[in-house]
Amino acid sequence: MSTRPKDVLTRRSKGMEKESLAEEWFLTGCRYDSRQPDSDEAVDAYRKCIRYDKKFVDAYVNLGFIYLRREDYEEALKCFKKMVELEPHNPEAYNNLGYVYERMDRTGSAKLMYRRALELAPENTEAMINIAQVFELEGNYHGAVDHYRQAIDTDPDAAAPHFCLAVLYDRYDMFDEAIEEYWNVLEIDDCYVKAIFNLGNIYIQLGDYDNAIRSYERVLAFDPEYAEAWNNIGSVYEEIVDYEQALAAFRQSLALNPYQEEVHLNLARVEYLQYRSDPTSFAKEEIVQRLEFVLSLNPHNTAVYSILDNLDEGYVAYQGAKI
Amino acid sequence: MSMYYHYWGLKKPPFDNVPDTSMYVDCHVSMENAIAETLFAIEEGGECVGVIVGDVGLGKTMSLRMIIDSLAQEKYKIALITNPSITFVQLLKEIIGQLTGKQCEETRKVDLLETFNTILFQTIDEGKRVLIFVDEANAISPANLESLRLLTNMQDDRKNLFTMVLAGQIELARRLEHPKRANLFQRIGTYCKIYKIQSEELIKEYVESRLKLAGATRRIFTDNVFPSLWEYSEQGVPRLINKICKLSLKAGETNGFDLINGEVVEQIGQRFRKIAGPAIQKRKPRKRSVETETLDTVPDGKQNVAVAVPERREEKRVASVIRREEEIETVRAHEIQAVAMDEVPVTVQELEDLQSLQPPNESASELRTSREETEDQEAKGLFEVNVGGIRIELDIPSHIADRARALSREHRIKLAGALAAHAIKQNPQLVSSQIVDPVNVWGEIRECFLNLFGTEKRMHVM
Repeated sequence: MSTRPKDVLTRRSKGMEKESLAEEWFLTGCRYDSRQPDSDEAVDAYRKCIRYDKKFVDAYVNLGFIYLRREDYEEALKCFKKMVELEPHNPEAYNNLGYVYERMDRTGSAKLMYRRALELAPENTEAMINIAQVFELEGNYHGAVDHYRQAIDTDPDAAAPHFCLAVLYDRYDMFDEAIEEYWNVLEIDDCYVKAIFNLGNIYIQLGDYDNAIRSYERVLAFDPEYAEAWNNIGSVYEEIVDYEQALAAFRQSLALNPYQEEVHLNLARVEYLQYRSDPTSFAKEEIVQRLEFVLSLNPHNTAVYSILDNLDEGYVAYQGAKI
Repeated sequence: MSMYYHYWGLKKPPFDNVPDTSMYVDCHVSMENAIAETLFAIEEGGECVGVIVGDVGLGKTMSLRMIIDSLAQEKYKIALITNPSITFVQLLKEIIGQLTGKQCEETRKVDLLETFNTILFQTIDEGKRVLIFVDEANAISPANLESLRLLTNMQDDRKNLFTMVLAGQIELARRLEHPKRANLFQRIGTYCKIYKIQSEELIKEYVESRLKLAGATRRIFTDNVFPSLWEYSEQGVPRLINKICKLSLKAGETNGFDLINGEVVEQIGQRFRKIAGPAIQKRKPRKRSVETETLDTVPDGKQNVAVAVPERREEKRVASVIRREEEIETVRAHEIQAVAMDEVPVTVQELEDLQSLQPPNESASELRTSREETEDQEAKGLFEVNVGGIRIELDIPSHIADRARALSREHRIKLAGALAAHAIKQNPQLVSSQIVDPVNVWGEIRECFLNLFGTEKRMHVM
């Protein structure tokens, strides 16, 4: 029996209506997502989009990322598996799926997915970096270096592989190698703030205070609200015995983020050093109160006890809590 | 390019913290033993389970890496699990996936066990053996530990079909040694503990041996280095020893020193303590999106969607106005109890003291209605304080205040300090101004709690 033209038209128009509804719900999901990331409304909208069009891959992707950020890995896994099913030749699909496995601590499965991405696109540096990061997780330093190098060779003008390699070197205390790679990053992108910040950290450890200060000043020129940079520049000033600058930097860091245990400790230590050379410079009670505040954040901070002991050997309030 | 170690007449860097078998010295006896014994157990094939335990930073992961790298790869199929805090089904899927090199699609435990069993026999038929390494094994749940024990039952009558090596922090040792795990414990063939390098003398031997391996022909570190090295390496953590020594050699090169003395090591030890790890780049999701302009427009013909957004906005605006008008934040009773349980305890005794603050018949998570709160403010100890011109309400159940009064003075001060820290975290408006020092705010609130606990005005013993 042949289908009547009217039925065909009705079905076609219903199909088009569904497509259009799916599109509308996807747009709505994006709108919610951009206004309030990861909201339930965005999830609902993407789900409705999928209900109207089960092959709407973009909705699965965005939904997957929402679940990832919510740490609902099983749901994220379902979304990205669907993406792989719908776009089996897209390396991005395998990179995403691999990333979910990585977050689930299934590093072997993650590596398999990243390798699949590489098979599909042998020039895909993202997959190389991802494999390197799995090697890092597994403690395989040399494997990680090799894969970052492979990514750098494939795309020498990309900053990300250089930065990742620099951080790996940095973590393993390979200072010279890390410095070289951070500078490679900055040659590609001279505004790469994290690279400048990490360089500053290495310079401190090497005792190169001029370069450390220069690095942090540059970071703060880009981002005056970088609380860690204020703290670290304060530590350099402390090292070079410029206590006034150190105090100002620590205070600035605390103004940006008042709950940094380490910065309070740094500030108290410099106040103590000032107090020791000039007892009228600070009230002892204020220094003690700051140290006690640090202890209220972390009762295990042993550095606090040593300053308290130096301030007054008769200090007893926390003696029983020493660990 | 001249490297710092050339300055010292060395052929290669002596203190790099990267895995390098050629730089192993036998002064870190416990690590050396762990590697040797585990390798022996694997290669002989007689042992089913090997265990390596040790504190953070002592070289467990490095040991596993050394073991894996030292094995003849063609003889084994290896799975390495780096964080086993996943379900047993996922753990099995991960192990099977790594052993086969293919994604495992089974989902039922019984099927996964069957597949694993098949892999074991196939591997033996291929003349190989399966090795499973589990790092951070202290993260395995008790249930998974029991399931792993069941895996060890999958053995041939005559020989072990696979070897499993568990590496983890001391907590793993405690779990394995628990009488409940006697069945698993009996399966353990090698049980190695990695310790720090245990004395200044051994640190000296370690440093000098590594220098020799790097080609040193003369003394580089003076004797007064080692007490400082002992102190700043947290009493013998090899990674820290390496780092301090490397930085010392680099500083020596920069400053043209002939020898590294204790003063150099002291300065470096103090310096690097202040620096946290490097900042890393977070991976950004590649969301699929549309043009921003499109997002700002309201879709036509979809009333339910078009209306939803402004309505929600309106709700938010009204809520924020109410919040501003009230300008009162309440620290809820259950939050205070949570902080009392989670943040204050320092010692076992203190933990027990604080646990005794838990009301006998009241769940910590129970929420009271606002009406009830109003009715029994007095009884529950709700009190309002003015801190820097901002009123906040502190709500502390009377039974907690009563018990706090019974604590020792030191404990009352600590409890009040922790509650005050929690209160300002819950009331960020107290420290929203850049000129406000949170310590002063904290001090004021702590005094309020101390007054409530009936403690005399805080006296500094100076």
